[in-house]
Amino acid sequence: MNGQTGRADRLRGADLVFVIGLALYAFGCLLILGQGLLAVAASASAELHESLHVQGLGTGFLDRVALRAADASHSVPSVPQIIGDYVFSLVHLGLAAILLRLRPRDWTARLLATALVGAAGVFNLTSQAVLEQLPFTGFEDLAQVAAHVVAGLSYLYALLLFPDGRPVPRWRRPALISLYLTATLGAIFLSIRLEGPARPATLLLFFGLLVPAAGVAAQVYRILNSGSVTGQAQARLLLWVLLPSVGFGVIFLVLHGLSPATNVLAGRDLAEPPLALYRSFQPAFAIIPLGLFAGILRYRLWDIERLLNRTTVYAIATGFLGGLYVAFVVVAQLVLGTVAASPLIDSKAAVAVTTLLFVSAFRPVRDRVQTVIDRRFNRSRYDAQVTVERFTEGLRDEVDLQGIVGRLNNVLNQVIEPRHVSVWLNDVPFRRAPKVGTGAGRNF
Amino acid sequence: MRQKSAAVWRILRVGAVALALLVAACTSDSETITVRVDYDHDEFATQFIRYFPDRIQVHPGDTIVFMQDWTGEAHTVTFGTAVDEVLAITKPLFAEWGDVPFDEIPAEVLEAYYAAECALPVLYSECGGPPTEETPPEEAPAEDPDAINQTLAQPCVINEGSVPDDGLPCETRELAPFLGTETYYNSGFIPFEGDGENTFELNLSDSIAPGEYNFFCSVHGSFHSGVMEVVAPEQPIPTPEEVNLETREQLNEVVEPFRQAYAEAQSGVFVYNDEPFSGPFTGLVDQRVEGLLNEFVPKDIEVEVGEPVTWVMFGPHSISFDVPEYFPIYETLEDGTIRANEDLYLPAGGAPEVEETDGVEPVIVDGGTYDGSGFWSSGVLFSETYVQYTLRFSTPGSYRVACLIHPPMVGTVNVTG
Repeated sequence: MNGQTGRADRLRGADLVFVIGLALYAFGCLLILGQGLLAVAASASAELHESLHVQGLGTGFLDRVALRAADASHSVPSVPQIIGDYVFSLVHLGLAAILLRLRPRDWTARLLATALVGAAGVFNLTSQAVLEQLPFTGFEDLAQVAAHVVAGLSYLYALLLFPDGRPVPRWRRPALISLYLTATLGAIFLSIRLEGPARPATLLLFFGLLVPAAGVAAQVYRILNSGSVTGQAQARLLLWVLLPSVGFGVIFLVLHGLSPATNVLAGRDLAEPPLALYRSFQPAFAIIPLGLFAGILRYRLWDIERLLNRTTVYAIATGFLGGLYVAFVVVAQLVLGTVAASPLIDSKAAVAVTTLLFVSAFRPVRDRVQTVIDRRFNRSRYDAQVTVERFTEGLRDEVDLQGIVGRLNNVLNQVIEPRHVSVWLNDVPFRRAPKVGTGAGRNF
Repeated sequence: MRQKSAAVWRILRVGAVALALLVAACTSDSETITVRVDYDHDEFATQFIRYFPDRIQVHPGDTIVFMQDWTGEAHTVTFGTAVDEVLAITKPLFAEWGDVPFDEIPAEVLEAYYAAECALPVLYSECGGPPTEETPPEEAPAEDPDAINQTLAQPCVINEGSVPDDGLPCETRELAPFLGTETYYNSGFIPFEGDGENTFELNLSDSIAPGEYNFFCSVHGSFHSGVMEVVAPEQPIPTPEEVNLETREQLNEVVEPFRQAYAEAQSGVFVYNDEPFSGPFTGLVDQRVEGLLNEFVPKDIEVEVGEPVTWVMFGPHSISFDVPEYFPIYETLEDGTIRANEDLYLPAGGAPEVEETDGVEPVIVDGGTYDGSGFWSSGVLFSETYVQYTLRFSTPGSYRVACLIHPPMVGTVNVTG
């Protein structure tokens, strides 16, 4: 009992460390993304630009943020590029949130989520270009390296562990730990050894090549060594997803070499950011998480269908009620005049009643939507409900015990497809209802 | 389920507190007054021989951070009663003759001006200047042509007596809090630490008397000066935010002529001293501004093999290809000695030597042909009017052109066959 309690405590401690670490990491990422948006806003507003410059004359952390945004506002990318950058980042952050929702305690999911948060920040050129407006302070330099290393190594290990959490190669633990430790320390050492203003872009190139290359090697290993057909198919899918990234990296190196990866010329700032690097690796790295989620969907890993089902149901229910509310307001406006002048809309009581009405309608609407979704898209679950209902009705006409057990066996197989079904029959003078359970007893 | 939910909330609360602490730590801003020494503008690279703001109010015991954007130029912050005496003479002359063209200023005015300024070590003045082999400064050791006046280049405090003219390092180079009574209190060259990290912190003594204290740059002399007014502790002074606002207003005012010049040059024709010039340009100047606009205009040039390109150069610049890692115009030796990096000024890679001129007449140079391989530099060229530098390219390719002394000055020459 004590041992169990201790283990639970340890788990909570690890969870706490992870949550705090990820929260800080995500905060840093959002700060970087926010700086990019600030620069975009300053490019559109002369007043904001001027305010940022005044703020930027100070020496504090936020002053540097302001100065970077103000300076970068003169060279923001085109609107399609900004949209592309932020769609990329938002998709990554969204997928990270979904992963953590699906598997909050699974370390493969945690690593992947961390990697996605990091990628959302480091591959966003609009934001990264803002960062590079000023030389990094010691802390900023450290944070920048840490952001790349954490994102790169998390991605690397997530791909080595995905999807079953078993690391490749299948070596004994001491040998495996030695290999992973050496790779980790090597990557950190190389990252720290890189110096100068070209470091962020070089780190991007380094991990941009390393992560997919290691991922491809891991999937090839899985294909060759996995005993299960499903495992091989999953590895093959991931392999196809990773190959374009490796291809992009190799083509980039062949076409450009290392020099376009930097925005400096022998210690002098170049006005243009390393556009070729970002525009090559960003789409390559967009494919990986999308491919991973395609795999999760395809192989129904990590209970993805539950999340999708709930998301769909809540989105439709909320959308439906929201639409209804808007329609109600519009109709009220048409009938009673402008909203502001409308006695109905202005009446607090009317607002309270309307809100209560819509809130109370949410659950029935959600249940109704759930039924429709299950019937249309989650056929097995809908069929299961129907099957159970039919079984319950059929019990009224069944008197033979063996017949009941047989029908029960059929129903369970149809509905939940168990590996084993066991039924205990209490052999006492009074015939009680049969108990149904799994994992022990008679095996059909 | 409830326990799990509570645990999650506990974790989130701890995370939120940690984040709040981090944000608080990051956003805690010091109440330090910052004065800009020079400024690199964000719309185009600039260099200003000015302090922003050029007048500040402080309390005894305050700290003033003099922050220098590295534009390629060295600066100092020099206080002292000797500086007050110099500026007491030169500032009224400025006020009276500042708007008059240089060649119309009476000789006796210039004489009075330079006589006052030359009482102190000043690098770029009629009483001295960057040492050359032809004119080694008296104070420089004869065996080292790259040596510069160490009294001004290194930190120096002289509490009483006159400022020595031997050009040697001062005996006292540790800067104690400024009392206001020192004869000479000099930061030395603000150390080069990179693009934007060059600072000199002036700590005021608690016992400094209220009053006005002048300061100037020992590199550029009276042109580059400011006033620090110390007021009694109970008297209010502008907040750092108000000082920043004043800085920005002064910057906006002084940058406006450059903005017009840049727009004009980008259109292809730039008028200077009523004379129109066709681009491309290497740097721009405006008579209304004490400073330089350090840009290649346009940044990218398209030419064919053998076709001559003629840059019109305003201000001291070089036209250099395949440049080495950036190094500033001076270096600091281990013992603190400051030396000029004279390599900047020499032609390299087969570029022709340029004959010495009087520095006033235009300089016209045919640089020959660059074959696209290896370090090539015109050397730093300068004329009070302008320099025309013509170059051809023998090999198709894309070449980065840079100025050796101004780090933001980078352009591209695309040569087609």
